[in-house]
Amino acid sequence: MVARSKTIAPAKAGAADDVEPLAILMDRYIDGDARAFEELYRQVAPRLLGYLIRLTRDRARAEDLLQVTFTKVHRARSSYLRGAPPVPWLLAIARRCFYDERRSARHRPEELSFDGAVPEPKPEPAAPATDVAEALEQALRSLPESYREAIELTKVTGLSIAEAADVVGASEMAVKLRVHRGYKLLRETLRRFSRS
Amino acid sequence: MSAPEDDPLAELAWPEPPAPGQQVSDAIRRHCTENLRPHRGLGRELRAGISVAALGAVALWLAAGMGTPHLARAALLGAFGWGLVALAVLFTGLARPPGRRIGRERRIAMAALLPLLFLAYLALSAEARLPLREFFDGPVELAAACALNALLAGAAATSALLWLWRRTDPMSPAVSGALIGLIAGIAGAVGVGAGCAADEAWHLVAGHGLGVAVLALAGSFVGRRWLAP
Repeated sequence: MVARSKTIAPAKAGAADDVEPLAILMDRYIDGDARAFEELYRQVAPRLLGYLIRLTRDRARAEDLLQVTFTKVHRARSSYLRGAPPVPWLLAIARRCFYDERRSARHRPEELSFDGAVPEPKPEPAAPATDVAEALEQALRSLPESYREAIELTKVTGLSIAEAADVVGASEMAVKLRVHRGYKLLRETLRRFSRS
Repeated sequence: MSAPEDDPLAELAWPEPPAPGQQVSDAIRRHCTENLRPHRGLGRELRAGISVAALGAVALWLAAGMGTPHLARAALLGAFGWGLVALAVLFTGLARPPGRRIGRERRIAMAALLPLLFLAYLALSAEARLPLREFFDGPVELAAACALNALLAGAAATSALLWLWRRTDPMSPAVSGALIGLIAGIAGAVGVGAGCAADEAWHLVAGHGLGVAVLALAGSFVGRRWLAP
């Protein structure tokens, strides 16, 4: 959609105390306050982008989806029921954008090569991790999608189990299980890394 | 905002959320703030109030239009009771903002079980019970007319409510759609029930109650598209 370039300073997940609550910013944005949108964007965009990158595993695609998400948010702002927690509301819209895009991509025609096969890009073999952060990133990438998403929402984005369950449309018990199983796999991977 | 209590990986440095590119941010900001004006939609109280009025209007219109008013005390009590159930579903499952509603499992249970309970209520509250073959040999047209009335009026109410609550629920639009179909279906069934003198179990189940299950199912399919932003 739009070219990408240098990055802006990210807002920390888990806003500081002096930061205006997101629900108030959302209300002010709906009431037509552009500065409230700026602040809302500064606080939530990195979290949305991080979540979308985790879903797509592709930063360019994630940035496109971030734009689609905010376009939808802007169009639907009059339907936002005041009092709804903004971050899960926004994440649920982002998630829906991702799945809609994935569904439409499946129906998109692919160009075939001369032998009639769909050209598949070969996955690049991951270089061995050199520090814990890198090992964690690789371990997260290797998790099944549902586990990775549950951990991303609860651990990285900072949602509660109930909020994460709302976003992914599953029961709290299911999300708890996914986080638990994801942790187990992560622990095994990281143990292997520390041994090596 | 909490992680699981016994967090075995609490000490790990989780990846920081990445910042979007400057050009992407500029494009989004431009799109969302240019000519930004107050864009207040209906509040949830007003939406709930209009929903109640629409459901009541459908039920009363059906009851008045069906001809023979059914003024038996038990039937009126039943209609009143199911009216309360529909209001409870509306206010607990729909009128609160997404993320602050009752749990997803309870909402799914409401959408799945209440139509069955409604059918069971109709079957058990009937004063006459004919074998199925005799029902088909009898005046099936009357049941078909009731079913058509309940279904059409319920479908109109479902559409109106789906439109009223459109784009309000990105989290569980299918469940919300099913609940809308359920309460609109109950309004239609109660309206038809109040205006129909038939008191036979198969007639009540097929003619009055089946529409509730059909509309709950249809609501979940349409709601998936209409209720999500």
